[in-house]
Amino acid sequence: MSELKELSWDVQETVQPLPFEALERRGIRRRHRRQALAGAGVVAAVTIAVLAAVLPLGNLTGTEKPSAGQTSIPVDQAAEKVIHDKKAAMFGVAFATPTRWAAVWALPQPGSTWKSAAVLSRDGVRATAPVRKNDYSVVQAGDEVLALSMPTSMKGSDPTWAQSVMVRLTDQGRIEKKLHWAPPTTEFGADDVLLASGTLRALNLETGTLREVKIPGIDNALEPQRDTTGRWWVVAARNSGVGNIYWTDDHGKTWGHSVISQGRMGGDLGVSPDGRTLVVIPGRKPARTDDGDEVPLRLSTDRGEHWTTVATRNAPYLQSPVAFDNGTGLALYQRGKDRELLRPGAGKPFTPPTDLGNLIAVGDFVYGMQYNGNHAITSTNHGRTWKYVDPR
Amino acid sequence: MADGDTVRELYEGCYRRLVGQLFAICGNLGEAEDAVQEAFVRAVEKPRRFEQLENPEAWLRAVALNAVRRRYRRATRFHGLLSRAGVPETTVTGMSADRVALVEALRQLPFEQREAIVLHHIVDLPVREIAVQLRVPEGTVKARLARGRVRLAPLVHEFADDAEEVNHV
Repeated sequence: MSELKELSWDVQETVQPLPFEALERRGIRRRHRRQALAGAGVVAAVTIAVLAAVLPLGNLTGTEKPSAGQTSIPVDQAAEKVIHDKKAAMFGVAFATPTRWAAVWALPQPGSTWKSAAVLSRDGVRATAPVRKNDYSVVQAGDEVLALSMPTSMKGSDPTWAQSVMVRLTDQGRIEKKLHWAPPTTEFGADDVLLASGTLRALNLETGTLREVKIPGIDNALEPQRDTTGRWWVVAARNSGVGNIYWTDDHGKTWGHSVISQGRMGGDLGVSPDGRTLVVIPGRKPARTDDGDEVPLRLSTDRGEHWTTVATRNAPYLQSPVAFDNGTGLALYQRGKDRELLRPGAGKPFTPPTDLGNLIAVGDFVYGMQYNGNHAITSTNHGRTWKYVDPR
Repeated sequence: MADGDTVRELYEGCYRRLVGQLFAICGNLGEAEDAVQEAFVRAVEKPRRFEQLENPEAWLRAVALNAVRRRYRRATRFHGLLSRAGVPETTVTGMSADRVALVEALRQLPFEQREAIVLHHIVDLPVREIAVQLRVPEGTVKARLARGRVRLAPLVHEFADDAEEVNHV
């Protein structure tokens, strides 16, 4: 064998591939994002860019049945069939309160299409969202969760608006409402829920109106988060531009912003419920191609006025920053066998579950999706211990 | 979704091989893995296109190679150099001195010569197929191979004849 082939062979022997499921999920999520941008589907990533709340696990069994007082919620057999099919995959989960959560389930169909349905659970009452071709996203809105099947595009003429739907489970029972298009806007309502799906969108829960929100000078916005002061935070940038943290206290009338890191595109942001603690991960430098591109994990406990670097790790293996009101946070670092649950402001890293795909925090409760399975993985002690939950 | 089993089987069967091939071009294991992972992510992302491929491994390699090529071009523009060194790292644990020297020698080649050398002498593609893949004339591929072989001759025995031919000219 030639020296060249021996070289290639030697390298092969040292390679330790990531689990296929990790790439599979990236591909699926990217497909969903592409479809949302191109107008062909709905992004499952929206599901992930959602706040949740503390969940007392004793109430989350995945086998909840409607309580006696809620037996009027009819069972949607088609949805149940999708949700419980052996081939169904959980595409997203969101929590709003200890006993209020929603999960997206999708079933592959011939011709590379999917059927999507959702489960919602509120204080022991369970309901489903009807089967749709366009994937659902599950979203926290205050102390409740929603399931949304959004149109293929945000054009008013898109025929898939007819199939778009929002399902809520309120104290009045299950509410299903069609989504309605409205022209893009720079300002949004005080009670609107912001969603990121390539573009920034505002959803009015009462009317079902969904419209794009334009931030002046911005092409892309990600990860909208609202703190208890009412401020909305997003990570935003011009196309191919440096990532910034943007915020508004007046529903989009004015926006403040600060650069996350010069020369770096994009970024990830975690905001504590009270909005004082921020954890940020800058994106990659566009010209760096080697593993030496280390990014700083940064923490602020004064609403972004001052920052400290708490660790540096290789991009793009650092992800999912979350923040708590006690001035600490978490971030997930996974690079092959190197796995850390970094704890900005709190101390030495923990070792996360090997199949933890991401992190979302609501209050002091943290959860993520199992990247190679259909469970949510949850923690009530800032990541020290974890439990697996089947959200059906 | 593309038959997930098909992509998975390909992943299990050829991921390491592709990384080994891409490493020889870019000289950086992390970058090679990133590029090959990107290719598999795209296979999952665009299932219909992938299902229609006659040679999925070749497609994956081409996608990975494009990723490496784009990074190289951005890197050289960023540094303002027509650098032949490519990305600065060459780390594979436990590599012998000879291997390290070979990797370094590959990295010293112009990127186009590295590409041609690896596709022909590691991937075993014929010149015609390399020309199609790189969208250059066959003569260009042959020229790149010839020049690359001459420079690698001290480290690659099968290229020793190329060095002798040059010396005799």
